[in-house]
Amino acid sequence: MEHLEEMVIKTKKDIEGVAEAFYQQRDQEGFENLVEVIDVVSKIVTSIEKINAGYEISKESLDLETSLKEATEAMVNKDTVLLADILKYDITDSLDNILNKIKGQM
Amino acid sequence: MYYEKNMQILQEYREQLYQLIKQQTIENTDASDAFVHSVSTRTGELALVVEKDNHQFRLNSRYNPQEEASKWAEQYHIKNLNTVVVMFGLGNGIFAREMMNKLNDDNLMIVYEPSLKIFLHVLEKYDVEDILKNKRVGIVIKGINEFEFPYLLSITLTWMNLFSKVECVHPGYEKLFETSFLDFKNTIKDNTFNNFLTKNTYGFKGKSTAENAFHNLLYLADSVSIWDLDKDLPKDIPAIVVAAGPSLNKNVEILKQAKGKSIIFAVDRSYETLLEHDIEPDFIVTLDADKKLKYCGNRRGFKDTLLCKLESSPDILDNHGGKKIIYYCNDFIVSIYKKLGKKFFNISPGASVATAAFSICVNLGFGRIVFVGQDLAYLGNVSHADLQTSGNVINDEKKAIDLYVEDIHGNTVRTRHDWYAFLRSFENAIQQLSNVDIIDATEGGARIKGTRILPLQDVVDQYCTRKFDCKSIIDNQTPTFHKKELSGIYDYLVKSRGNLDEIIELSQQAIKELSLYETNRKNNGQMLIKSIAEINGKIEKMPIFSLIDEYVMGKGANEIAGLYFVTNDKKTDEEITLSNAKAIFHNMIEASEWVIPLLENSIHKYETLL
Repeated sequence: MEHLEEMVIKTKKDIEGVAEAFYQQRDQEGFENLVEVIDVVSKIVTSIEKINAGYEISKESLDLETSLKEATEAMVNKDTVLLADILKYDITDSLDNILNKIKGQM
Repeated sequence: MYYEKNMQILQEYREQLYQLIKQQTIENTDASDAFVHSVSTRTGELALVVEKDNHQFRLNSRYNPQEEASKWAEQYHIKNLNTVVVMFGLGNGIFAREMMNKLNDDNLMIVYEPSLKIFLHVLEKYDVEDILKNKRVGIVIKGINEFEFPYLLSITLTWMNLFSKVECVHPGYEKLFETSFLDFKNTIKDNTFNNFLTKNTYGFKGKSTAENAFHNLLYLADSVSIWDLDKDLPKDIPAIVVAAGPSLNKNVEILKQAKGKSIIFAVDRSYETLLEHDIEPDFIVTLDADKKLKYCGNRRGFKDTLLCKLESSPDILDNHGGKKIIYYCNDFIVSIYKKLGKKFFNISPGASVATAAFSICVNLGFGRIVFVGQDLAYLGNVSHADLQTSGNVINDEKKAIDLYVEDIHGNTVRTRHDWYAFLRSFENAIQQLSNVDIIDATEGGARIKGTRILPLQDVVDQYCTRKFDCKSIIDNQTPTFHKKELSGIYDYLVKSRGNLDEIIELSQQAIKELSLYETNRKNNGQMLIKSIAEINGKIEKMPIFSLIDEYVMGKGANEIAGLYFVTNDKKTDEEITLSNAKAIFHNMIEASEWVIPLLENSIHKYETLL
């Protein structure tokens, strides 16, 4: 649980950096760092699914998956500003919600 | 929503732009089929959306446009003095506003909006009052006033603050307006190019300009001002500007038919070619400070009327026996005209004798100007008409960087870096001359945008139809200064001699104060700045300063440019500023001491005329 919390905090910081790179049109840097962010978010999703059994976080988890799909779509469309927005707002919010719910239900 | 208020502000703060916009309707806007609208975002702000070619381009974040703009602007730092921000894309103003809010008092911003459709939509839907009101922000809109863009760049970004430029692009604009973005970048590149040429010119020619001014000063006594001649020249006959490009040899004979039915302005280097074909131009135009007589007809005592900058080459002016007509002189000499109540203002020559000839024709108000020999490109390996006929079919000895441009047939032709700058200079000027018919009858060379291409024979047949005696008009011109007024010139020169002693004294005082501050930093820096500014003010007010300034600029170009740089370290900045400032004042003393014997010589010469 603590490990998950640390991962979320670090990922949020990394997301901030990636979003900033995209807002500043440093697209190459943004995409390079995005790879790692998506990796970690995927690991977070996996960890959550394992923990999920005991907690009611399926909606938040679903939101996160939806945001990831939208982010992927934005990547394919090369809409880096939308991608940055999804990362900075939707994915970050989802991660916060998941964490808060888990903490609340412990 | 905001249209009326925005237009009201435009009218109050940017009257000319307001008038130009009022003449446009949405139907006249950019020819693309783009559809511009705005959508609501999560924060309640609006985001601009452009639909074009079946694609949707969102120009703002649909979540939080303000946060996006703030983050975007964080990458730009404005720390140097006299920084100019040049931005491609106004959008709805949110990004431009972030940059605008970073400007210090001595900074400026130019925003280039490539879409009138977007601009009109933004005037309707967004409150951009703060941007429209800001006097440090220049706004250029394609289709409205884009001809101002090169001009704005040239007056705000000079060689002195060139490296203080901050270039930025509104997110999404580069993709949406690819062609306009390329034009935008090319215009900036051209300005940078011109600035390097100017800086080099100052470096090489600053001293000789001052030297020539004093050497040629005696010619002022018998000269005629261009503005005395102006009133007698009819403006409804063609003005033919003959340059010395290699294509001149193709059609020079035809100029015989134009003689007496047009006014022929020949640049100095084309004079020899014209004389070889027994053609006497009405005017020879000269500009350069160090051009040899061999590049101006090579005939001692030549009598055809010379249109000259007073600081032009002594080798040409000394060997000229005819009337000299002054179109440009240093401010030191302009002051003489003003002091003695004569109408005179400079006709800016641009960077070449051909641009000078063109500028003269424009300023005199000719309705039709014809270019001949204006290749601005090589013809094979040949750079000039006289090199071809002399058998020296090689490049001019000048070191040059080769470039390639479109020629009059749509093919590619080789040019060189300085001709390229002149070409752009012509095009920028022509863009602003909607009432002048400018014909390129060179029949070769680079394509000069904005000109009509016509063979010279057609020009002669269609437009050289009315006889006109230019020679008698010139012969009837009397010197601008009467004999009695020469004492006024003498008195002015004597006073200037005294001013030089003052400049030396003030410069020495400045150096002393700077040195004192250097050794004891506890002294009041603000007081020092104030004192130096006062000294500068006193020096700059003296008319003779404009002449020694040429020398100082030439010698101290790097120190002057260095004054605009700011590092992040206060101590380093202070040291650089002190060192550069002292160097400049030392140069000022050196320049003044160098000018003294030249000025005294001129004073003696005028004394003999009294």
